[in-house]
Order: sequence, then C-alpha cells, then structure tokens
Amino acid sequence: MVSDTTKRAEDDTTSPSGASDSLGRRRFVAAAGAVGIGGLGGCMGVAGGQSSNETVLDYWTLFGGGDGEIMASIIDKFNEQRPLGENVRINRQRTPWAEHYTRLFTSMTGGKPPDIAISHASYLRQFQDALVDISDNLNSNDYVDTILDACRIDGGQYAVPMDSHPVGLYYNIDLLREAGVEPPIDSFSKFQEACNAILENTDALPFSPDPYWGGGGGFRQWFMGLHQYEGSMFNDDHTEVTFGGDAGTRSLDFLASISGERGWDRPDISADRVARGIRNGSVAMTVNGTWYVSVMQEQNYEWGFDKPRVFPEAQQLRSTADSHTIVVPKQPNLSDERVQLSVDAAEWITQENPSWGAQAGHLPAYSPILNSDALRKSVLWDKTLKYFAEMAADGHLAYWPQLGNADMYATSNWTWITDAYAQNTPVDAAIQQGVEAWNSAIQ
Amino acid sequence: MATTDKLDGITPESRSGRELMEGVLFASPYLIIFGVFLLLPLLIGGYMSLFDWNALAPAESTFIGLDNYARLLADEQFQNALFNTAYFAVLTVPSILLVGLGLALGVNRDIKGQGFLRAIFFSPYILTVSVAAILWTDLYSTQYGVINYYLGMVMSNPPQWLQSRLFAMPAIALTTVWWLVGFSFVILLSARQSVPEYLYEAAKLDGAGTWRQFRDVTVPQMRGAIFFVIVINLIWAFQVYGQPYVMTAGGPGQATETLVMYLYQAAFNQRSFGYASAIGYVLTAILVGVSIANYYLLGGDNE
Amino acid sequence: MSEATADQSQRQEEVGSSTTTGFSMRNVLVHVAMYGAALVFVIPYAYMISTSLKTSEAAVATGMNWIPNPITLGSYIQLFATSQILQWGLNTLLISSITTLLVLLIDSMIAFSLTRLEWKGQRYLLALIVASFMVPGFVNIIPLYLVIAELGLINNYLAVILPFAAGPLGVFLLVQFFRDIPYELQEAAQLDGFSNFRIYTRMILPLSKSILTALALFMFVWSWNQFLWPLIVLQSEAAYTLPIGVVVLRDNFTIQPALTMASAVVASGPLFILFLLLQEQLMTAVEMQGVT
Repeated sequence: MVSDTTKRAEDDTTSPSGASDSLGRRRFVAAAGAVGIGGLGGCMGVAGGQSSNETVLDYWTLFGGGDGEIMASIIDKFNEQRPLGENVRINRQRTPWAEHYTRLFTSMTGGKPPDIAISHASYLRQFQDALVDISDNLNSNDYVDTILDACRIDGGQYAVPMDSHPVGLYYNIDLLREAGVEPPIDSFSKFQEACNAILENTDALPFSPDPYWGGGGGFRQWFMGLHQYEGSMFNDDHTEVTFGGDAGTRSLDFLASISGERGWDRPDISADRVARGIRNGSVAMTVNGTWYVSVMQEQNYEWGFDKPRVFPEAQQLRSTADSHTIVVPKQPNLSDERVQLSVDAAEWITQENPSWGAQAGHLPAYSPILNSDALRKSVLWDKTLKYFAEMAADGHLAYWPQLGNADMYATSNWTWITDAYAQNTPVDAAIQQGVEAWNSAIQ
Repeated sequence: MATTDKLDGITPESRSGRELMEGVLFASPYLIIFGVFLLLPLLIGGYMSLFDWNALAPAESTFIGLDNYARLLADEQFQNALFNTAYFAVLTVPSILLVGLGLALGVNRDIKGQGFLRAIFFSPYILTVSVAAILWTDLYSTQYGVINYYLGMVMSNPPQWLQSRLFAMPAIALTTVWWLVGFSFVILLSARQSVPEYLYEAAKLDGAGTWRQFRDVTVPQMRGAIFFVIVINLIWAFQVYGQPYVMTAGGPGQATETLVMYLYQAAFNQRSFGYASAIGYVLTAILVGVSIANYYLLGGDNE
Repeated sequence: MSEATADQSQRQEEVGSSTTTGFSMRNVLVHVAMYGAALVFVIPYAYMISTSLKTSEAAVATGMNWIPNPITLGSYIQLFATSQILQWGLNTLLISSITTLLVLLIDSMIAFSLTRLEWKGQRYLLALIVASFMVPGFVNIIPLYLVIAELGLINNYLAVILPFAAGPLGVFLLVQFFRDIPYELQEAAQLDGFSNFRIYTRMILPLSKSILTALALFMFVWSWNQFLWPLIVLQSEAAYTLPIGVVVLRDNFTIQPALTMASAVVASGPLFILFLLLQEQLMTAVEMQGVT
C-alpha cells in the first residue's frame, strides 16, 4: 500500500499546474508526522488505485437509493467516455444525506475538500467564503434563469445548477375511484371534495401533508402554505423573522386542521407512518418532492400527480423548491486549470445527462435538456415533470431561503410544526415557538 | 486520584528518581497520542471559544474575549437544553446501575443458560446508536409499533410515546437503558466474579443473611466498579445526542433537546464554532463538578 | 421462606459446584426474573430480524406479523450484490483490531504507571485525562481535523485509529482495576528482585486478563460502530467502514424497513459473534480468585 503522503504528492504532480512548488510547511509537517509515527504509517494509507498519469476529480454526492443509482450511471458514463480527455477521471463518493454538509463543511475548514461537490442552493451563502467564484469559468449560461440566479450570491457565481426540485400532490388513483372521485385534483374545492369522499367511502385516510413526519417534519408543506398566503419567512437580508403574522398562522392552522377538526389524518407524527401508509394503501394523498416518483413507480396501484393546490383560499399557487447544484470548494494551491477542469466536469454532468430528469424525476436546470425530446417524451414528463416545468415557468416556485448562518433543513428548528400537527400545542403558541426558534437560529 | 500511599512502605526515597523515569516511560506512549489527538484539539477549541470564529475564513475571526460565555448565561435555549440533559441523566444513570447490577447478580447465580443470558444482556450494546434509535422509533410508533399494538389490547388509549411531552424523554431513556446497560452489566459481572468467595463464607459464619452479605461484602468489594459505572454513565448521559436526534429531533417543542444537540446545531448548522466550543467547555466544567461531587459522595478510593 | 433455607439455597447457588437440582423457591424466582428480562431484551431483535426477512411490501404492511410470509433474503442479497460490503467489512476489521491492540498496550502501560509506580504529578495527570473524557466529541471535530490535515493524515487509517486510541475510557477503567490488585504481591516480587517491566508483564497483565478482555471488547465494538469521524477523514468510498457503507446504500427519501434492518444485522452481526467467542475469557477471573 502507498502511504498517504506519497499518494498526495503524486496527486499534486499530476494536477495540471504541477504544483511542484508546494513542498512547504504542510508537506514538511506531513513528512515529520509520518516518520514520527514510524513504520505503522507505511501501510495505513488508503490505496486510491490511481495511476500516476491520471487526474482524478473527487466528487462528493448525497444521493442514495434511486437517485444514487442514476448519479452512479452518469459518472460511470463519464469515466467510460472520458469527455475531458483520456486522463481525466471522476471519483464519486456517496455521503449519507444527514452527514453530507457536516463533512463538506469540516473538509473546507481544513483545506482538503473535494474538487466538486453537490450542494443545495440554499447552502451556498453559508459556504460562500470557501467556494471558488466560477463566473469566468462557466462556458454556458443556458440554464433556467431562476435556478441560475439562485447560484449567484453578491454578484459572484458560486455553483453550476443541476436541477430544481419543487413539491407537488401525489395520490392513489385507485383509492380516489373507490371513493367516487376522478382526477385531476386541480383546485382546492376538488381537493376538499376528494378528501371528504375518501373519508366517507373508504377505510383509508384521505391526506397527510408529509410522508416522513418524525420530529421536525412538515416544514416544506408549511413553507408552501406560507407563500400561498403571500407570506415570507424572513426579511430580505435574513436578519428578521417575518412569518409570525397572518400568513404563517393560516398555513399552520390549516395543517393542524387536517389532523384536527377536518379529520383527514390522525394527529400522529410517528416517523414514516404516512410513508408506509402511502405504500400499503391506507393513506390516499400526500405532498412531496420530485424524488418521490421513484417510490410511486414501485406501487401496485395507479398513481397520479397534480400541482399542490391544497390550501383553502390561497391567494396564489406556490411550491417549495430548492436546487441541487455543483460547487467547487477552495483548496490551498488550487490551480486555475484544475478549477476550469472541475467546472467543465460539473457542466458535463448537468448538460449531457437527461436521465437526471427522465429517470430520477428532477427538473433539469439546463434549458436544452429541459426542452429536449429525451425528456419531453419520457414517461415521467406527462406524469409529473410537465407540471413542475409549468410551475417553474409561471414563477410558482417559492425558493428555500439562502441563509448565511442557519440550516433550513435542521429538523430541530421545526419541531413546533409537528407539535401543532400532533395537537399538542395550539397554533398560535406553536407559531410563537417557531418565531423564537428561528430568531435564535439566524442571530 | 491514584492510590500511591500504599507503596510508601516499599519505595525508599533513593529509588524515587528511577520510579519517576520509569513511570514517565510507561506513561509516554499514551501521553503522546493523548497530547496530539485529544489535548491539542481541546486547546485549539478553547482558543476558538474566545472568538467569533469563522471556520471557513479563520483570518476573519474577531476576538471577543469571554462574550461567548456571557451569551451562554443568558441563553434560554441553553438553559432548557441543560435542564433536559440533567433530566435524562436522572432517568438513565440510576436505572442503568440498578438494572446492570440486578442482571449481573442474577446471572452470577447458579442459573441455567448462563452463557446465553450473558450474550443477550450484553448484545444491545453492539448496535450503533442510529440503529438502536431507528429500531425503537419503530417500536414506539403509535400506529405500526409493537408496543402500542399490545398495549392497545389492554388499554383503550395507549401513550403517544415520542410525540408526548410527558413520555418522550422517558421513552428515550428506556431505549438508552436497553442499549447501554450491557456495558455496565459486563463490568459489574466481572467485578462480582472477582469477589473472593471466602468473604461470603466468613460473612455466613457470622450469621449474615442475603441482604447483609450484599451490603457488607458485595457492595464494598465492587465499589471501584460501581463508581466507574456511575461516572461513565453520567458522562455518556450528559453527552447524549444520537437518540433524541434520531427519535424526536428535540421535540415535541424543545422537550427533548439536549446540550450536545444544541452544541451540534451551533457548530454545524449555524457554523458558529466559537459559541459551540464555549458550550462544550461549560458542559465539561459541569461534568467535572458532578464527577468530583460523586467522588466524594461515593468514595472512588478503596481505603 | 426461613432464614435457614435461604442460606442453604444461597450456598448451593454460589458455592456448590456440584449442583443439586433440588426445588428452591428462590432459585425459581431468579430463573423467572432472568428469563423474563431476557425476553424483554430480545423483542427488539425479533422485530429487527423478522423485518429484515420480509419483502419490501410486507415490511410496510399494516398489522403485526412476527413470522414473515414469505421469508426472503432479498434485502441481504441486495446489500451484498450492489456494494463493496466485503471491502468495507475488512476496513472496519483492520481499524478496530489495530485500535484495540494499541489501546490495550498503551492504556495498560499508563495505568500501570499511574497505579503501581510512584512519581510526582501522577494524580494531576490522571485527573486531566479523566477530565478530558468529559468534553463532548463534537467540540473536537474541527480542531482535530485541522491537526490531522496538518499531519497529512487525511484519508489514512491512522487518522481514525490514533484519535480513537487517545480516548481516556481504557485508562480510567484499568486504573480502577489495577489498584485493586493486592500490593503484597508486588512487594513480594520486588523483594525477589523483579524489575518493574517484569512486574508489569508477568504479574499485572496476567492478573488482569478478564478486565483487559472486557476493555478489548468495548474498544472493538466502539471503534467498529463509529460513524461521523471515519466518514469525515476517510475520503474515498473504498476506504469506508461497514457502518458508513450500509448507510450510503439506503435512500433517505424512501422508507425501506427491510433493507434498513438487514443492513443493521449485517453491520452488527460480526460483533455479536465476537462476543460469543470472547465471553468465556471475559467472565473467568479465576486467576484473581486464586491469588487472593
């Protein structure tokens, strides 16, 4: 086995710039450390299996399951076709979703991050200090404007957009028919009628807003309601919480009424209760993101999808959205050539692979793919993607805020929603808790 | 803490120089690794706690002295987390000691299938925290869970374990006892088996019954192990993170949010590393205080 | 029950090696209590194993089905077919074994030094080591990462092993037990001219076999199960440990109880077998009893 210090030295000499001048303090300390630890160090390095004339781009992703397989096939294709030259290879590493950002963040503090990594657009502002501004490296601007904009912070371009993943209403058509309702569910009154019919005519529960629940679930759905009632979570520079008023309360009030007086669901936030129910046919409808198609496609019932018109008297249609993007983290001694190569690789991943939409179900950010036959003739286009595309084109996507110092996905900031849904806490008190939690999170 | 006084009689003053050298020599392999990979990072963390630390651009960090610590004192979320953590410790530490001791003394008897029982009681400890937590999240599930399925047969309204303010923390504590008691069980069993039988024989000759044997022989002889088990479980309890993170995310409301959860949020969700380090140091100070109190209350030394 | 019978049964249980299987109320109660407790302990496993053997549809079905119908190994096959699971298992074995051996060696040495030798400052040193145990690990992640990166150890197994070996648990445990070994023995050995090294290797270590086995088991289990730190410093999929590997195979957005439980069985199974193999050594403290 090659010791790690040796391997890194090889990596550097093969990087386009050569980086041969970097035998500085770091390398010296490394050598001293390796010697100090003695013979043991020699066999402890992890064999990377790379030959000396290859440039390997490390690429960290957070996709598991179905998405993960599609991403794996995309990278396999890259390594087979070698579009950036025979000697450029991508080394993909999957990280579990829950730890991806902790790992990425830590790696960026110590100067050994990957060459490219998946980041949600909502994290870009937090990572801005550690990301390369790739304005001068991006070859094509032909991405959907709103998604490309989400990758720009303070005038700099910090990521290559890959997709958008809004949420929508998924339902079990067999159950709807059993209750005597025909899709589509294209208005709130139709939705309400469907829920009441299912409640009356079937054994199933009509609707639960979130399939996952667990402590701190339901946030995508509440956020969607907030925006359908023309509210917002924060002021423009994210220094103040603005959801304590009417819109936030109405959104939560409706969610709580689903498990309360409407009786469409139980006041039970046990983790994955609804995900099971959707799969075993005991819950008819739920709201979830683009990725949920991989679950629905495995069911043995007919399923359908519509835009999420599930809030009563909503002023506008909005769907909670975030984007997967590809970032290039800063590293010590990172050459311009390597940055360019990383951006080229990111562009290849986002521009040459319709399967990310057609099979994984996400809405591609690259316009030529979005308009391609490969996508528009796919099964999923008619099923879900055209609705997502329409919402994107009509400006119906409410993007997840890009906070500088707080994590929108941290479930511990959202337990007040589940608390209200479980009928533990009155809506007004829950909103008050939420305001306090977020005020302390963004301070 | 070390018991050195007993060596006094056999260690002439002239030898103390050599003892020091040998003592340091024996200690040094651990001390080097400890120094580089535990103490040094701790000191760096302590340094960071004096700054509004920007982990991604350390040069832009501003020195703020003890402001992070001052902020902690006024932080209601911190106080809530501290209270929850102490509550968790009160629920788990005595339970683990009593259950572990009960199982150890039971298995130590002449019982059929000793090996089998030892394996069973130890086994939950081999699971990772996330598996233990996922498993029990399923068991507690109100609609699909095993527990409420059987409770539902004997009562009409079984508790909604993890979403109830009353039951969430006890439910997490029960999971923790199941998951961790195997460690303490093995230590206590091992210690019990090291108690010389002649002490029991002597006690019986003096007419001591079971309870007096337990009180006058078992407990004093196992004092070192009991002290160790209490301290270790206290430390683990105060550092609890994985179980509430997976099972409740700190909910309902913030009823199960613990100190280390709050620390993790500060460090990795708000990227406020200086503040997180300050939380860590305050927690350490609390634990050191509790352990010292423990030491004097229970007497870790075998005098 | 009279005091006399209680004592008699007590003697049979604790002293009598020739077990008379005579009826004793106390003995029955102990059996009932222990096996009752064992049943409670086993229920979660029963659920875990039963779920892992279900089809993915049956695993999300309603109702309580302890015995899967049909029984399928599908989840296990999926785990082994689509992954580098053997590689991950070997990595984990390597990391855990080396960590354990290293800990046994260095922790017993320092515990010997702290309890059986006398030198100035050892009290404070022990206090410092035990106090460092009380710092929550998350505080250390970023500073430790900086140290590891400076040493050039990223993506090196030493980056996992050395920080694990720095943990104070073993020192604390061994100090507690070493100090219970009678000092008369050491005194006698010293009068016979034994060097401290010989006292350490020939007397203290053999007398501590059972506690060292316990420590070995705990270190092995602990390092085997560590998740976040190895994930942070091992930056290549081929280098992952088993607990990390089985998690990246799961989909966060799809509920797959059968696959989740199967991966838990696969990740923890080797540890259970290890315990079965080690438990006799763990429990025999014959030597200790022999000398006291």
